[in-house]
Amino acid sequence: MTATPSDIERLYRGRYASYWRGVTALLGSAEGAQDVVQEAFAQALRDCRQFEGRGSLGGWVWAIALRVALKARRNGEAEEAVGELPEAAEAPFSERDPLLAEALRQLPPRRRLVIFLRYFADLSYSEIASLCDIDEGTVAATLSQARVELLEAFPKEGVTSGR
Amino acid sequence: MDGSQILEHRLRRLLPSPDGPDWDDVVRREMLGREALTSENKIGSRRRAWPARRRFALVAGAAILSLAVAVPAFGLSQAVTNWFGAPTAPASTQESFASLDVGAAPGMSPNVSSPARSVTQTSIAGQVANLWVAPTQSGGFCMELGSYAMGCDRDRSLPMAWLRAGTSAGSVLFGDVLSSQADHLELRYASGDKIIVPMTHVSEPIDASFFVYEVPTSEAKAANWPVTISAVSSNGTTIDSTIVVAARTPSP
Repeated sequence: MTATPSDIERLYRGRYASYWRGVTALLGSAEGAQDVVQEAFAQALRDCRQFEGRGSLGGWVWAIALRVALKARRNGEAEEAVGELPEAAEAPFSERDPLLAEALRQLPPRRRLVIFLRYFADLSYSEIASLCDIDEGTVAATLSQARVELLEAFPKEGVTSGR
Repeated sequence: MDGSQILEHRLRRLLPSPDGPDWDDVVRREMLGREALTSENKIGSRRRAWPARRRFALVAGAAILSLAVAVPAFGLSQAVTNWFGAPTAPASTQESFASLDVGAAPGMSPNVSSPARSVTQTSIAGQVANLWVAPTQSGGFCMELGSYAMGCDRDRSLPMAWLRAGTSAGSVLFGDVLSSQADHLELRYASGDKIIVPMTHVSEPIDASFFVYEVPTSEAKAANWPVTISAVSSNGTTIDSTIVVAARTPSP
């Protein structure tokens, strides 16, 4: 089962914001994210007949977007290390929520990537599993571990009792 | 809210909102990418040098700089420029060419080999602008029109190339064809109107013919794009043609 240009356009229009947020998180900056998303969809449009129907079309395009994003970050050299938060990521993240930004920075790369794909890219567990080449159970466990670590970074509510 | 809900709420708020989607831009990029692949298959050219510091591309006979749109018209007066007699560029322009190698991806440096020279002067938005050209070590060249835009055909692999740049008064289209026989450029709009633009041939080591054309506001309307440009010899033979797409949706 291949995809058609209309399928790609429908996906783009329906989920552009999710792709943009996910790429922004990966790049650590909004600057360049639009370019990456546009390039990814252009490639998807060109190669849509190569989609074999294994997994979702959205996940297939995400694989393209990840490659484009990593190349953009590495100045043309794609590398395997995904999910690393580059130094530049601290600025935009820190401004809005310094505590959360620092907690994200402390996460191991794989957990951080899964958080990004789930909360910024809005991917399903199966799409994340396919992208990261892990099973859905591992996705769930990784997300759970990541949430615990992130929550530990937030101060606990104090309990005051009077005597 | 429990902890997970608080976390999700904070994560969702961490990033700004994007600008709107631009599907037309995706289609344009796909088309340019297809042209690049077709050209590479036909010519078997080596990978082009993409200067990293400006967002432009030189692909399959079409080089694009996506900036704004539309202005008054101008063309080069037909001439043959002797490269070694052409005036050399000022230090600031030489630095501009030299900086193309800075930050370039591995294997992508243009490697400009000798000082840039002015192959012709034109008037853009009422100001004098030089078309600077500098040869590369691989036998190609880089070019820069005033402070508007620059591009490279490092390996001399693009039979015809163009760039478009926004100006304070609209836009300018300029480029080259790798032929000493190109006499003029025929610019044919989608509406059918045709514009003739003289070309200037530059001698060895450049050995290419150049054109510059300001696009009048009246010609920038949507119905006129895409545009076909053809390099034509003095006896009317078409040497090469390519298509210029609209950078943004032109004014109607």
